[in-house]
Amino acid sequence: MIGETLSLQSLSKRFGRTSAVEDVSFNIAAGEFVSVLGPSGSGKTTLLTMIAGFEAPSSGQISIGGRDITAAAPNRRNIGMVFQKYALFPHMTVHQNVAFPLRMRRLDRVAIKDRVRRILDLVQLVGFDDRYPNQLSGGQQQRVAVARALVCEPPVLLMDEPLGALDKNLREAMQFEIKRIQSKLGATVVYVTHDQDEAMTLSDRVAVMCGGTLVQLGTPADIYHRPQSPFVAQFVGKMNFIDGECQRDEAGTCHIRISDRITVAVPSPSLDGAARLQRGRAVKLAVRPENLSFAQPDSATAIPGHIDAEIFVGAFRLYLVRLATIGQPIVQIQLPASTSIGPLRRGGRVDLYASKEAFHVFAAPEV
Amino acid sequence: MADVTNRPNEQNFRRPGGSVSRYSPALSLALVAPLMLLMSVGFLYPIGSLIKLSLFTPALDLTSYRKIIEQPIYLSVMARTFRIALFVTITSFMLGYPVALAMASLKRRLAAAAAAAVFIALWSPVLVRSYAWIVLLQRNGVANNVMTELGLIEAPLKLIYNEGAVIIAMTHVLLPFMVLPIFAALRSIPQEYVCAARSLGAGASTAFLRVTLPLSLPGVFAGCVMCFILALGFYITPALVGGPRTLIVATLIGQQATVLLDWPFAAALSTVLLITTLIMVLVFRKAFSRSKGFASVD
Repeated sequence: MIGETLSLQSLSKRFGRTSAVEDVSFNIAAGEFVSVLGPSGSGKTTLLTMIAGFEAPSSGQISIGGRDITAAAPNRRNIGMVFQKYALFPHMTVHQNVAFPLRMRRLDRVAIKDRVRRILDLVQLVGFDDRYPNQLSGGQQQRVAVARALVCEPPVLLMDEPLGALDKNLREAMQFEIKRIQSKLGATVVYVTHDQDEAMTLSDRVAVMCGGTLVQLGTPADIYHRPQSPFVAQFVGKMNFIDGECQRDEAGTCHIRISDRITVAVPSPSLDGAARLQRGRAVKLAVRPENLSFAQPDSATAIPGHIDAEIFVGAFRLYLVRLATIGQPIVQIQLPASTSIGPLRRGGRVDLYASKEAFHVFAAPEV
Repeated sequence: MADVTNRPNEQNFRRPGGSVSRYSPALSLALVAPLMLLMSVGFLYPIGSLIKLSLFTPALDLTSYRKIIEQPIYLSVMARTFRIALFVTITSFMLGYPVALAMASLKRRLAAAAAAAVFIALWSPVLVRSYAWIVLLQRNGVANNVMTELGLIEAPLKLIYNEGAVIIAMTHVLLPFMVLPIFAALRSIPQEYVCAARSLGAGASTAFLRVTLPLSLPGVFAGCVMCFILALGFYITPALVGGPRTLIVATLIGQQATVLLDWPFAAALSTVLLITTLIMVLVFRKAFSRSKGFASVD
């Protein structure tokens, strides 16, 4: 294991009046793979450039293996970094690119040759030593970039959307490759991406960022099944939102009125302390498309609506249903492609069901 | 040179392929025809008649060329011309590279100010700038007065009408031609390369020497060739600040053509200057295309 812990403490970065990163803190264990997930402009790349040392934080502290590196120069941090566009030096061959960090550390010729050969073997690029970057395909360039970042066995590896420039199939192959290399070397990885699938596939934990702040940090399953905010809920996976109003919130069950006649009982949201949702409080009821169905399970409340569209998506079938509830939202229902549910026509009336546990309740922001 | 066709960079995706981007041969010809005509009338014909004038009077006669080789004064003028051009190129590079680097790395407003300073120098007439140097360097000029006032010197120094003055003034005139290509080359180097070098363990100066400098070499090459060639044929500045004793090829040609009216000899000198300039360009090109920095950068 070469990985070390990485700890960020109330890290902030302001550019003039705008705040790119605000009070972000988290600890990453040695050898852990953490993705920083967020839409563009969420501050994830700024966070990475601060860890790498290209931007000084406005406030806060960064430490690696317990050593404070907040003020250290980028070349004294011993961090490997893979850039979005790889940033391979165009005037150097593959060998010279990969040997660059070793030469900077003044290793002798024999040791350099040996380590370059070993790392090129690891990324399966043996025999490409004398090529220039512009003679390589995108995937090969990407692997050279990974090899160059890892050849010094840095305890922390940063990756800034390293697969963004590749096409879909290659991207998936490279995800496995990155995971394989990481688990073999045991480096701590911070992986910035806006692709939720990528974050879910690769990571031990996912840090979701929005507007410069860290909104949720947890395992992929945690993020997916227990989103703590509507933003996380709809950014990771698909989520339907149904407007409602709280009627009663007691004994761990919350009764939400979603139309004049329909009230659903769902688990109470986990609010701070013992706080409960106030009666009459506007809420958003969230449920994932795959948790909705047309078949009635036990003791579930029917939510009526009309079919708006049916879409065949290969592995599954997607139905768009306009609900007869407050605001008449359109929700998606995802069913296996094999299930046939009889003649459902556009405009046909249906009842939707979901188990109680499938619902999440978010208090709508107070006006 | 590297194989450009399968390079997976963005430019390739934007470029429409095949017939859309290509002009038909007839259209290409039509597009370049006006310039071709102008060049053949205004450039090729005069050059041709110049070479003819140097060789035939009217029968084949090589006396003019023999004169250049046989009389040491003309060879020394040639040598002086190349020496001055070389010094001007070197000083322009040494003064120009830091300026270009500053322009490329400064924040927007300061960079604009630096660029304006370079452009104003470029746009102001050569004659004005040359006279300005006379004002500065002459016997009772600003430079001598200041140094005398400060007590640095007893009597005024002879600062003008020598090779040094020519080099200083020509460097000033040609500096923008060095700064602008280097600036363009530096600007086209993505910041990530420097970041990558730094994160891989290079200090700021190592990152510059290993990454920024080699990648800016195409600009350095363009600037040096431009400076050197312009300096070889420079006329006004050496004529004004060089004085009669600092004769270089261009002023010599002027003298022969307009004062002594020895046109065949002036033509022979011009031909020799032209050919040596062409050879220099080819040699420069060859040397630079061998260096990796030049070969692999877009």
